[in-house]
Amino acid sequence: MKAVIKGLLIITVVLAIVLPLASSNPDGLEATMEKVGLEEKPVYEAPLDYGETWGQSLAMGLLGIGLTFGVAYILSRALKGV
Amino acid sequence: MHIPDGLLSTPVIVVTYAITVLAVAYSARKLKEMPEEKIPLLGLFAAGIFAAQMVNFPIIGGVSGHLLGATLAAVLLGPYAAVIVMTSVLLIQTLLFGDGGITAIGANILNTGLIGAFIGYWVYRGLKNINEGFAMGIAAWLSVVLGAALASIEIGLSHSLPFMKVLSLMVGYHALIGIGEAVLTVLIVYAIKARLPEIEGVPA
Repeated sequence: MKAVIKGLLIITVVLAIVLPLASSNPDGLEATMEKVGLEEKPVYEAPLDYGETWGQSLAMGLLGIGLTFGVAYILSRALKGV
Repeated sequence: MHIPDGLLSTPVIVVTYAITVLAVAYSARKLKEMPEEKIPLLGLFAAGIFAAQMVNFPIIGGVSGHLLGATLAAVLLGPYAAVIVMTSVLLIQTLLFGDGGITAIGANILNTGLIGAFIGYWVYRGLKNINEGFAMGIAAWLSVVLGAALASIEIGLSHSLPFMKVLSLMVGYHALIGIGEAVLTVLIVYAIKARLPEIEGVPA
């Protein structure tokens, strides 16, 4: 468990450092959709987003890191039956 | 490479959901063979992959991409754990952060999770004896390109559009994004192995 806490700290620190370098360009699929005129039709509004500023993004990143850790850990424990 | 809502037809949605549900259910059963003390690592990998997917790196032509991480997780934890990790990440991203559509979760877990976890892992295992780093890199690159090709096929089956154009754009962009995937996978796997030399999962 100690290694896991250390790992979560490393993930957070690395995210904080590289966030300002993140590209906001469209990804490969979005660029392809633009070129062939495909458009999304949302049917569901997600409650959260990744924020705009470094601080907002880091806060949402921390929330997402905590949530994904929790979901994957609890799900795996349940599946393992412990 | 998260497919949004509105791009897939009902038959494609049904088939991709069915494949994903079966593969996740099978992986969930296989997870019982995972040593209990390794279970927290699945949480850690999911958290790390979520964070990594927030950071897009630029490629050419004003286009960007990000790590998928499925092959990375499969190399270190085995393919079944990788499936559970990727499914957890995709569910949080889609349901809470709006990445990709809810009708496309099946396709997105298939394209960005199952391909890397299974095919990436098989390629890695097959080439490992030549050179471990090379095997990981090729497996990671191929998982991105195959995922992109599969996404193109799913979209192509759903719409009447110039399929070859979609396929060549998707594969072209992702052949470059895949280089990032390969480099990051090799660097991260060796960094983790240096710190946690005892790490290993449930081999297939």
